[in-house]
Amino acid sequence: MLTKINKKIKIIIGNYNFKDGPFEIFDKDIIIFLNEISKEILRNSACKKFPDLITFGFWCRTNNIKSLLKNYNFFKNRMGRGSVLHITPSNVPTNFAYSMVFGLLSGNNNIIRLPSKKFFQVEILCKILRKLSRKNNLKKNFNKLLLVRYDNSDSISAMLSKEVEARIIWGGDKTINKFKTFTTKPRCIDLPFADRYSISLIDSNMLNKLNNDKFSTLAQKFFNDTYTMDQFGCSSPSAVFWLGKNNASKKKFWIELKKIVNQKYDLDLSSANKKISNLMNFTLNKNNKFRINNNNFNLITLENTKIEFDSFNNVNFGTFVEFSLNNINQLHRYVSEKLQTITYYGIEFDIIKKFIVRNKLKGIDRVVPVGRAFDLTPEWDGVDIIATLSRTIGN
Amino acid sequence: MLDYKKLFDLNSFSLPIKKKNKFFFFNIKRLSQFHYQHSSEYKLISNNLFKSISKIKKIADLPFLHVSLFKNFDLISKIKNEKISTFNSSGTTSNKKSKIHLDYKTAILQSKALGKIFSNIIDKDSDIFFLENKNFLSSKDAMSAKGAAIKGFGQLCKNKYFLLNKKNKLDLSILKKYIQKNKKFIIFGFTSSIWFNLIDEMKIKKIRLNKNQGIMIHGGGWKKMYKLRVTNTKFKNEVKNHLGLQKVYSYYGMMEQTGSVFPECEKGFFHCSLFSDILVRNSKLELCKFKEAGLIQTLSLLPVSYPGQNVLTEDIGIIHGIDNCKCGKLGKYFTVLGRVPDSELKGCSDVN
Repeated sequence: MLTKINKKIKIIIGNYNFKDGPFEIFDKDIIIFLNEISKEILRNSACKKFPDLITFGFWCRTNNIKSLLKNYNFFKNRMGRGSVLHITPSNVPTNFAYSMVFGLLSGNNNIIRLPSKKFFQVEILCKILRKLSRKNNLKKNFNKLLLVRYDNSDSISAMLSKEVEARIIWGGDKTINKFKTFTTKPRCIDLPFADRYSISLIDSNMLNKLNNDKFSTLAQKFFNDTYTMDQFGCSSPSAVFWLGKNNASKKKFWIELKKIVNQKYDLDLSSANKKISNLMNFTLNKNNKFRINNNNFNLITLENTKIEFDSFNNVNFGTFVEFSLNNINQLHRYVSEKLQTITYYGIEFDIIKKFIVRNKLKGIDRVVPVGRAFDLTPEWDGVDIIATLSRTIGN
Repeated sequence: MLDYKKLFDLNSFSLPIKKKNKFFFFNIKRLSQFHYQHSSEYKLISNNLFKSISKIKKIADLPFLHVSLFKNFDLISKIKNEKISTFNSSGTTSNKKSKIHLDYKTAILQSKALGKIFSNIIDKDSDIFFLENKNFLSSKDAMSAKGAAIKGFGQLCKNKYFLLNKKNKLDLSILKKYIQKNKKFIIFGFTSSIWFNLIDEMKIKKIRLNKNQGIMIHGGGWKKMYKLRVTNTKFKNEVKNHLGLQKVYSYYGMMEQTGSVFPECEKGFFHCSLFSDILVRNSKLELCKFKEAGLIQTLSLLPVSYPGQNVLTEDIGIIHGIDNCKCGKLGKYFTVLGRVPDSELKGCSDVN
C-alpha cells in the first residue's frame, strides 16, 4: 500500500507498509496492548494535570474494554475491513486516541492524521506509544498503526483516501464535504461526524426532590457537559428545555450552576470578545428577540425567546437558551436533523425514546443522563463505530 | 439633536473630569436615544442585552455595539430625506470590511472635530503634505474616513500638497524645496501607508532628508504594523531618521468613529477629547481598574447617520489615569497594547 510516499507527510509513529491485513474484532493482543497504554498513562506523573488523559487512561483498561465487548457478544464472526483513515479534529486533544482504539478494536490497520496544533496531551501520548513500540511483546501492534502529521493538503488527503477501506472523519461539515470529493475505493465506507448541536431536557418537579448536595452534584455534572470545552463540543447542550412548572427549582438550578462557574470558569479577553461578538451577531442575524438574564457574563441565559433555535448553537462560552414545555411533545418543533444529544434528568429514557419513535424524528442520536455528554462510546452520533468498521463473515 | 455649536466652542482638552463627564454623559445618552429611534439594529441589541436607555445613569451601562457588526450588517440611522453614502474601511487585513454609512452632516462634524483636536499642534501658517494621490479629493473615495481626515486637516492649514503623483508614484520635489527654505510644514498620512509607501520607498531609493522644521501626524491602521512587529518607538525613529522631522504625533482612532480621534501626547499617552470617551473592560465585561488591561470601548459624539457612537473594539488597552497626565492635558489618558489574539477554539467541528 501507499506506493507513492509523499515527503510532505511527517510520520510520527509506525511506517507506511502495513505488514498484515485485518483481524478479528476485540483481538486479545489488542486488549493487552490497550491495557499497557492505560498503565503507562496512569503511572506517568506528567499526565496527572490533564483530566482528559486520565479519563482516556481509565477508559482503555482491560476491565472497561471487556465491558464494551459485552455489547458485541452477539457479533460472533466479525473482523476488520482493512485500513481506516482517521481525520481527527484539530482542537480536541484526545479524540485521535479514542478513534485509534475504535480502529484497533474493530480489527483494522489505521492511518491517523494527528491534530495540526501541538497539544501537550498529543505529544505525551505519542511519547508513550513510542516507548511501547520498543517493547518486544508489543512491537507487532505497531504494524497496524501509522500516525502522521501534514499541513492542510488536498493532494495528500486525496492520496490517502484512495488507499483505505474506511474513513472516519471527525467533523466539520466543510471537511466532510471536502473529503467526499476525493475518489475512494468503490467499497470504502465513510463515518462522517458532522456539525451538530445538543440540548438538555430536565423535569423541574423532580429537581424539587433533591437535597442540597445532590442538587449541587447535578449542577456540577451539567457544568462538565457544557463548560469543559466552552460549549464547543457538539454534544454540549446549548439549551435547557424544562418540563414541569416548578420555577423555584429552575431558579435554584441556575444559582447552583453559577456558584460552580464562579469558582471554576474564567474567560480570557479573547473568549470574552468572541462571546459578546457572537451574542450580538446572533441577535442581528435573524432579528432574534430575547431577554438576557443573570448579571453574570460567564453564565448567560436567554429567556422570553422568539428565536430560531437552529441558529443558536454558536454563541458558546456559557450561553444557554431556556424553553418551558408543557409536555414532551412540544419539543418536536425544536428538533432538527442536526440535533445530536439530549442529556436528561428527571424523566425516563423510555419516554424520550417513545417521543422520538412516535414523531418519526430524523434528529436525536444520543439520549444520555446529564453528566454524560462527553462519554465517548463506540455508539456515537447514532452510529456503532466498531460494528461499522468491521465486517461479518458468517453467522 | 445635540448642541454641536457648544461642543465646538468649548476647549477640547481642558474641562475637569467632573464637568466633562456630566457634559459627555448628557450628550452621549441623547445620541444613544436618537440611534435607538432611528436604527432598528441598535434598538434590537439594546432591547435584548441592555437596560432601557432612559433609566441609565452611568455611561458604562449605555448600549454599545461590537465592532464586528459594522462588517456584517448595514447599520444606518436614517432621517428622512438625508442623503447617505457608504464607504468601506480601508483595512485589508481581514476579509470583510467595515461599512460606514455617512451623510453630509456627519462627514462635516468629523472633519471639524479632527481639525479642532489638532489645532494646538498645528501652526496656522503651516502648509500640509498628504501622503495621498494628487486627485484624491476629486475622486469617489473622498467621502471616506480618509477624506474626512484630509478635509479636516486641510482647513487648518494654508496650502495643501500631495506626495503622490497621478500615477501614485512618490514625488518629494515640493517637500524638498520647503526643507531648503527651512519652512514649517506638516505631513499627514495613515500609519501603514507612511510605512509602506513612504519609508519603504525612501529606503529603496536611498533618500534621506535633512533635519527640518516639519512635523508628522499619523494614525489608524496599526493592524499591519502589529503583524510586522513594528512598535510605535521603532516607527517614530525610522520616520525621524529618514524624513528629518522635528516631531511625530500619532493618534488612536476607529474608522467607525472618524474625527473624534485620541491624539498622543508628548509623554506617549492617548488622550480623550471633549468629543470622545474611552472605557476598558475586563473578561467579564466589567470596567477595569486603572492600569489594568482590557478591551477598549470608544464613545464619540459625532456619528449621526449610523449608530457608531459607542463601539466595543477588539483592541486591548490600559487607562493610566484621569486629569493627571504630565503633559498637562486634562481627561482620561491611555495606551493601546494591540489586538486581542484569536481565541483558540475548542470542540470538534474544525479539522484544519
